Amino acid sequence: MSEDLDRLAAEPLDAEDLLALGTLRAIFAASDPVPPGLAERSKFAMTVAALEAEVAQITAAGVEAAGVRTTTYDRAQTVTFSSAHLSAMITIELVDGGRARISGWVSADGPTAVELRERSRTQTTETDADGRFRFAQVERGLVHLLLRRLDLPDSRPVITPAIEI
Amino acid sequence: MYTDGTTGSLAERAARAFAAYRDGDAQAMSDLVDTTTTLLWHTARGQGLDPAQAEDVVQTTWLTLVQHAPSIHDPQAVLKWLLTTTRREAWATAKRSRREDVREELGEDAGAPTQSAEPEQVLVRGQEQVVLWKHFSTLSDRCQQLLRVVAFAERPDYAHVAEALGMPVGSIGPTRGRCLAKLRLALGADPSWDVAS
Repeated sequence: MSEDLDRLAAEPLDAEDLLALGTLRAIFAASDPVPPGLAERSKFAMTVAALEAEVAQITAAGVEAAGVRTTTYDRAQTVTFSSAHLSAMITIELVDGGRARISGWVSADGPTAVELRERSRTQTTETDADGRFRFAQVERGLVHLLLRRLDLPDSRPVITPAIEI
Repeated sequence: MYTDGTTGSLAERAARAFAAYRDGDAQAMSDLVDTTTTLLWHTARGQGLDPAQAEDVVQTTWLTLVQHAPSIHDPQAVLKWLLTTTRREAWATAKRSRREDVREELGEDAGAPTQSAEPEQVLVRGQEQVVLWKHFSTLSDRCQQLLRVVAFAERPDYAHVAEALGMPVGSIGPTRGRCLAKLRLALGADPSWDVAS
């Protein structure tokens, strides 16, 4: 028995090993799946840590029925969030082609760089004199906004939790 | 996930993603997380953690990677580093929670956690899974921990994963190792493990 074990242990893997491991994998994949969102939550935590960012709290989120239902967009969603140093509000409008438009406003006293982090790309803009900003073409999915005060380069950036577009 | 090595081993893909991240490609880290989180999850769960603890451990491992990225000189080592960190963190967490459970029982908290976590409900479908699970369940906790993670790795990663989990197998090529050999012996002796190959 022990000799058999030693001999088997020293052999390379064969098709039956792969079948056994595949069967085991099927059992665990069905019985104990990786929680949905674990990878996304991990990435967010890593981003926050890497940027030493302050995480904004979402203070209000609501869906408003658009006044007129058109083919251009069928709903607008408003999300308000705040951190110790600023607050901001964004409005998400869905447009044709599965995309969205984001317009927003930042309460900070000075100009603010706004980064929109989508799954596979990052767009950047700056607030205008009234604190407003806009992204015209946003892919659907989870996004984060990252805000940096341009007049206070040493201040910590503010990142929002994931927002579903 | 399991592609029989046609897309390169997980270790290689992890190494490429980590090297790209170090060169300033933030997206590469995202790919690394997508590629590897499943292995880390099963590493943590196999150590006896409940799902909430396992989630914390996986996230902690990723955070630790961000902090330690500059000190990992060889990108080829990043998968091993991730598995080792997860295993250690899970071990410490399991030990802590076990100590809380049995605080009044003297001497009980001296050793490592030994119970291997099974899913709350094991779903087995079909003869193959029933027979496989029956024999898998009789293996030592260490072997169960190892094979559970190896099952989610790719074939060329077997030795790498085993080593990271503290069970080195043969140094030349991916040999079966004792845990898988034990499983094969048990399966081979069971007529109901009917492999039509």
